[in-house]
Amino acid sequence: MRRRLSGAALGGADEASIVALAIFADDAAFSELVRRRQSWLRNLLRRLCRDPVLADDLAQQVFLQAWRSIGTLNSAGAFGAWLRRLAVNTWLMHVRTQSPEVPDTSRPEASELPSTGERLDLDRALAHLVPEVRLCIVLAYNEGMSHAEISESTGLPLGTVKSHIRRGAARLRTDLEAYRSNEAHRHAR
Amino acid sequence: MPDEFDLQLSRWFAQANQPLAPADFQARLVGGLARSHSWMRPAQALTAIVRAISSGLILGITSPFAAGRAHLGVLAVSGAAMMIWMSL
Repeated sequence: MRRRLSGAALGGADEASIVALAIFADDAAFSELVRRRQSWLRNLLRRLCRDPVLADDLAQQVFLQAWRSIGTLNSAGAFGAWLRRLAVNTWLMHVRTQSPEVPDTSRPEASELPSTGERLDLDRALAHLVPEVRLCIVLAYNEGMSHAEISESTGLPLGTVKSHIRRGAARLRTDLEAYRSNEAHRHAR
Repeated sequence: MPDEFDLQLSRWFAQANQPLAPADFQARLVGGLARSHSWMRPAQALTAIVRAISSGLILGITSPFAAGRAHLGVLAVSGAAMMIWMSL
C-alpha cells in the first residue's frame, strides 16, 4: 500500500513534490494543493466575474476538474499555469453559456460608485469591460503575464492583445480615477 | 520593446487581492468530491467490466488470425481439445 505523507510533512513540502503525489491520486496531497492555491484562484475568478459567489462556484468546478484530470498533467512544475488555464476555460464556458454578456459601457454613475469608506471596487470597474478585454487585462495585471504569453494562452493575435490591454487599461484608469475624484469631492464637502 | 505597464493599475490589482480563508471553501469542495466519487464509482466499475469483456472477446477472435502459419498446428490441436472438453 502506498505510504502517505502526514499533513505536517505535506505542509513543508515544495509544490512540485505535492503535485507529483496528487498525480497518483493522493487525496491528502490534493487537499494541500487546494489549501495553498484556493486564495489565488478565487481572487483570479473574482477579477474575471465580479460576483464573489459565482467566482467561488467556478473555483469549486475548477478544483473538481483538476482532481479528475490531474493525471494528464505532464510536468509537476506546470501545475500553476495548468490550473490557471482550467480556470480561464471554465470562466469562458460560463460566459458562453450565459445570454450574450452585454457589458455596461456607460460611465458609472456617481451613485453606482462605492460609498465613502468602501475599498476601491476594481471588480466593479472591470465589469464595464467586454469579457475578452477583461481577460487580457486580468492576465496582464493580476497574473503578471507578458503580452506574448497572453496571446499564446488565449489564442488571440498579439496585436489584438496589445490593443485590448491598452484600451482596457485606459478605460479602467478613467473609471477608477473618476471614483477617486468623486471620493475626494465627498470628503471636501 | 517591453510591454506597456501601468504601475497605478498594478497597485490597484495588488490591493484587490485579499488573502481568502480556506476553511469553508475547502469543506465545500470535500463535499463535492465525495458526491462526485459516489456517482463515479459505479460508473467506473461498469466501464471497467464492459472494457474487460470486450477486450477479451476481441483478443479471442483476432488472435487466431494474428498467429502465423507456424502456429497453425498448435491452434488446430487446442481447438480440437476445446471441442472435446466442451462436449464432455
